[in-house]
Amino acid sequence: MTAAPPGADPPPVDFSEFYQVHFQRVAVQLYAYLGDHAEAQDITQEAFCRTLERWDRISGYDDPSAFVRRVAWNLATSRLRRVRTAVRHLARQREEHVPGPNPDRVVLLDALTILPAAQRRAIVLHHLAQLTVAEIADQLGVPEGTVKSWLSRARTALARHLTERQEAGRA
Amino acid sequence: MREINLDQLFAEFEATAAPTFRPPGVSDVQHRVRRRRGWRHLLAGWVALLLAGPVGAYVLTGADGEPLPPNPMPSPSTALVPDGNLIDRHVGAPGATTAHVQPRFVDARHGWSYSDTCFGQDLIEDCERSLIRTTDGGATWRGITVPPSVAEPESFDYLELLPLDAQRLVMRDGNRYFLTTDGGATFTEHPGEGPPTAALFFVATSGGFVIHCPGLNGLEPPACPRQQLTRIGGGGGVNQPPVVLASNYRLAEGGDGRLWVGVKEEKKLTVAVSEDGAKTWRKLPPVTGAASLLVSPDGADVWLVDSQSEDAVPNPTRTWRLVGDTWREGARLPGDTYSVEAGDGGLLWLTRTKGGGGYFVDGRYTPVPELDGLWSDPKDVPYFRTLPDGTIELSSPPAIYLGVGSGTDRTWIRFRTQ
Repeated sequence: MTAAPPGADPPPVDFSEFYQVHFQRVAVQLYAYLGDHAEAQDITQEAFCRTLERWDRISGYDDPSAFVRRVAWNLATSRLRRVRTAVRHLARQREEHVPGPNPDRVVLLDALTILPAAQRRAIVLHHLAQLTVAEIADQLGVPEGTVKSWLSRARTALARHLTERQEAGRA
Repeated sequence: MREINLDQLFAEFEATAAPTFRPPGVSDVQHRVRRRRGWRHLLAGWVALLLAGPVGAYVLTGADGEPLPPNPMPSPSTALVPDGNLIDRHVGAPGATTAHVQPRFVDARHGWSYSDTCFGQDLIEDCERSLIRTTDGGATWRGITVPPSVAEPESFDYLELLPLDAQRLVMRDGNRYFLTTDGGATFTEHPGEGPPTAALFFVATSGGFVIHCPGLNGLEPPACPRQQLTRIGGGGGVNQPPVVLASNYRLAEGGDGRLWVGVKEEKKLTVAVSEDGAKTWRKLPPVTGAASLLVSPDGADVWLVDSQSEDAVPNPTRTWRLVGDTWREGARLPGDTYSVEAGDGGLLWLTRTKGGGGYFVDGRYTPVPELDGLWSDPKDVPYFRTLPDGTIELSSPPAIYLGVGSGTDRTWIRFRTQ
């Protein structure tokens, strides 16, 4: 388990406080990754359940939030695999889905959907979970160079997509 | 291409999205944890009930008609003999470094087990599973290649082994079933809501009879006021036994093909028997005080026993044996009998709360020396189970014991998983 970064808030010992402080942050990360609000809420709650089951031990960690974040991301990745399987199944049935309304708040979500899952995972962990390249590499079990490559490609793709979108909006 | 400030974009996203997530509350987390623990407990109990049930209810032979293998004598050349006739064998493939769970034997020669590093892990990527199989009574074990989703699971869901026979095994996790019908050479995957038909044989008799709630398939815990008897594959002509199949029943099929249903209602037990594959039934006289039906693997001996407890632990003392169509009360079991199982040859296999197990015949209890002193805590007393070929199994974690042979002439083998 990683140590708390310098200047980080000391971890609350009480689970209730820990839950209140970290729930939204984790949920927002998963929302950006999955693009599904309800799934993000549900998985986040499940991650905190698993944390509570082991709270006696986890509360003693330097950074208990790192535990709940990892569990949440593992669950989200598992869920995404199953969703992909379902999507492939639907595709075989030639079912067509029409995009719904696109409120401003989900502009970033739309942009993130163009990224491969690995790149999306890396950039969300970097920009929303505030993890360093080394921390992302540790969490995902890949070399740092791979994370740097994912981040670079993701930034380029996002910038291009968002720029095109802005220009299309002005036209 | 214009400069896009991703940091600002993500910050704005977080600021607007965060308030849309409302933590359901710690009480909801606690409730969810309790519910999951309760479900795990229920599931474990249900599986234990399936595994500990009367042999006849869960007797399984090859549906393809493959004859059961003969009772083999264990190979002493590969075993350590620590004391007397007790033979020690290790469960695991050569070179395996992880501990395996208790093996599940389907007869004296064939068994399955798996290793699981998931228990106690916090992260799913630390979780690995591997399957092994023996075809020589546990003298050797061979690793089996399992589907990637079994070897590297995506969730911590408990994996159950539902062995059917030497060639067929069903594995079930929280969402899926995996079936092999060729001894592990290949597997097929099935969704949780649509288990393969073969899986149903795990809860069926050797002839494929199973009792379940209408609309369910018998693999789920029963939750209906009245269940029904059916035959897997729909073999026609199944008529319902003349008893009410609510919850307190036992279904058993002996090796002679006779089908038995025992139902406990209040303080009496009523048994119905069919000798023609559930086409017609004969109702036997109810027995007041009896609580449970036992049928020997060969079907020749049918018993009733009472229960001194309303718990899952029966603590029987009284016995009735079927002679013709009449129940005759026999000698009383030892006072500290914990559980009882019917074996072939008129034997009742007992475990006792004070430690040790043995057999009861003609009113006399004879301890098995190899099983003496295996447990001392009354809470840890194991059950005997008889396998379709008449092998006696005793599960006493972390070890499991097989009594291979016939009648009282048995060689006892201890399988260690550590």
